[in-house]
Amino acid sequence: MVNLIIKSFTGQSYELTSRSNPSRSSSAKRYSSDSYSTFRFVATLPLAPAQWVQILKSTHQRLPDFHSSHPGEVYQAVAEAIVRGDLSLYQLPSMNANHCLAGKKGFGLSIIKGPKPHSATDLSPESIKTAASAQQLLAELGISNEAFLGYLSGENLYNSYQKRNPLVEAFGLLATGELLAYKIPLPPKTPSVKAQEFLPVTAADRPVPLAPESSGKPEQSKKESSIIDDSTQFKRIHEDGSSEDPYTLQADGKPLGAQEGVMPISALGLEELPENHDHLVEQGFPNLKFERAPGEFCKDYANFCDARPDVLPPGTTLYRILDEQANPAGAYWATALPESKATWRGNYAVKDSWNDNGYYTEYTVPPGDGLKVWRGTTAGQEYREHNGKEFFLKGGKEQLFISPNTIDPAPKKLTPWKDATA
Amino acid sequence: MTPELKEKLLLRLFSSIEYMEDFTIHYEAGLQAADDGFAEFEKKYNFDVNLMKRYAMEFGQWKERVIPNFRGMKKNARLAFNNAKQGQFSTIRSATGNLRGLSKDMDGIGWNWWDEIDKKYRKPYSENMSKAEQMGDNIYKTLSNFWRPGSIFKENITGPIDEQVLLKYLQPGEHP
Repeated sequence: MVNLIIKSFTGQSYELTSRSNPSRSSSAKRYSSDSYSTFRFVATLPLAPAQWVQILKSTHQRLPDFHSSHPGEVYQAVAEAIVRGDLSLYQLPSMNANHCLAGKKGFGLSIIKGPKPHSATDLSPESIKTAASAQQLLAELGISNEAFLGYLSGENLYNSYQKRNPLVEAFGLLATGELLAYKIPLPPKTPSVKAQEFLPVTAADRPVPLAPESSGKPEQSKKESSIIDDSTQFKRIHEDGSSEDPYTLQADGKPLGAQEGVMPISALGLEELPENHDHLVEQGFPNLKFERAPGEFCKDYANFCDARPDVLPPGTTLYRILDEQANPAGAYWATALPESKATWRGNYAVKDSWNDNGYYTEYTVPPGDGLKVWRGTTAGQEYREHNGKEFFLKGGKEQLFISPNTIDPAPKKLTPWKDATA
Repeated sequence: MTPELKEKLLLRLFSSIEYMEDFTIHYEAGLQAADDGFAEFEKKYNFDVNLMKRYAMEFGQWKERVIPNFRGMKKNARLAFNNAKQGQFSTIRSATGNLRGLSKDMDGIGWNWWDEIDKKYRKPYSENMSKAEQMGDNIYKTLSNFWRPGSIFKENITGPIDEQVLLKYLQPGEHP
């Protein structure tokens, strides 16, 4: 069997190979998971059962007896072949404008592991023979050295921490072909253009009434967007306990960003809705007590120490921290990107076991009437007592609340934090 | 009943073991309903490619995030009640405080999959969790001494209060 490139519904490329054919790309990451997860993953790939059967046959697999026409049986057979190693699936790095280091002159830079180039692109790697030519390429694209090193670190390609001459070393990797650089054309800048893979609707839990911007969204885009690449996993693994634990303790004996003891009353959230809330909701402001199902209310006002309505003018940029499975178009946003994971957790009171970070997204209010939001001081959050200890996240920074699933945030980017994996 | 006496009785009610037991029962029942409902959905999901495609993201969110958290919260609720019976109230104080932020914890979590299962799961989830959130809030603010002036008398904050129930908390020598 020749190596097959499969492009998922999200645009992510995979290379499928048989046991005797390794991936043609040095940057490919082999997919490895248990049988059940692999089965789920295979089912999301855009290949028909008959095509999978053909692939299994071409690798001389002994096909099981399929008892029905149910595609699940075929997916199961494929999953078993992958788990056994008879088939291998490799994830290839994304090479597009959404996943590159953006330059200022219409091009971005994608860097992958070499020496074997990317196997699913028509682009050719830049010819870099010396450190000087690498530096010249950055200058040509308008990319700073700091951004370059930060990108390499974020992509786990090179860690410049405590290195004496990180730039020289990184340029050396390009010159020797250990890293390959691709120039990626960037689309012209327009506000609120969204990459297809982040249409936010699978988690579009709440039908939000009276929200600005939601009326024109076609239903079709919701259906298409419900398919995501589930090969990514949460970064956080409870190495010190069960997945049901509320947090991971850090070296200082506390959850990241948390304080030990009883939360002060000053961090307590609102007890009731802000004045004129219902009237303002009728005017299009987000609902801080949304009824998700009959009798089931989301008491979001309790997550604010104080809250006031505001209309954000066009051009205002908001930020939201995400993990792999979070909905980019959720409700809680910040007016600035927090400087570290610890300050994000502490100042915006985001609990460890509910959001692991790793990514952030931005949204710039487009031209028009502005964006109606609630803004105010983030209330503290209590962790449940665990192993006899009480911790809390104090909050205190200003947070924004928007009607969820009503905006189109920008594609997510990696959080540029040194403590991102803490 | 004077406001002073009513306040005393409300504080006794919200810090009573019976009230905490009631809270725990609702809390556990609500979390269990979600767990059962999701298990029902998972059975269908595993054999229906269309469900897999439609709910891949929500399924991951609930499987990896929500259900483990809910299970941890449920175990913690029982422990909190048992500790309270032994006179240790910090566990239930933090359990109820933790519950207060649930809407933020679940920001961005999808709920559409509930439409794919029998409605018998959602109703007990909604009813029990709503009661647990309300009662938990009362317990939390009482044990933390977090009541703001006058707010304990507002039923839009405490939920409905039956004065006949309050009378059970009169002590010898006190009269309504």
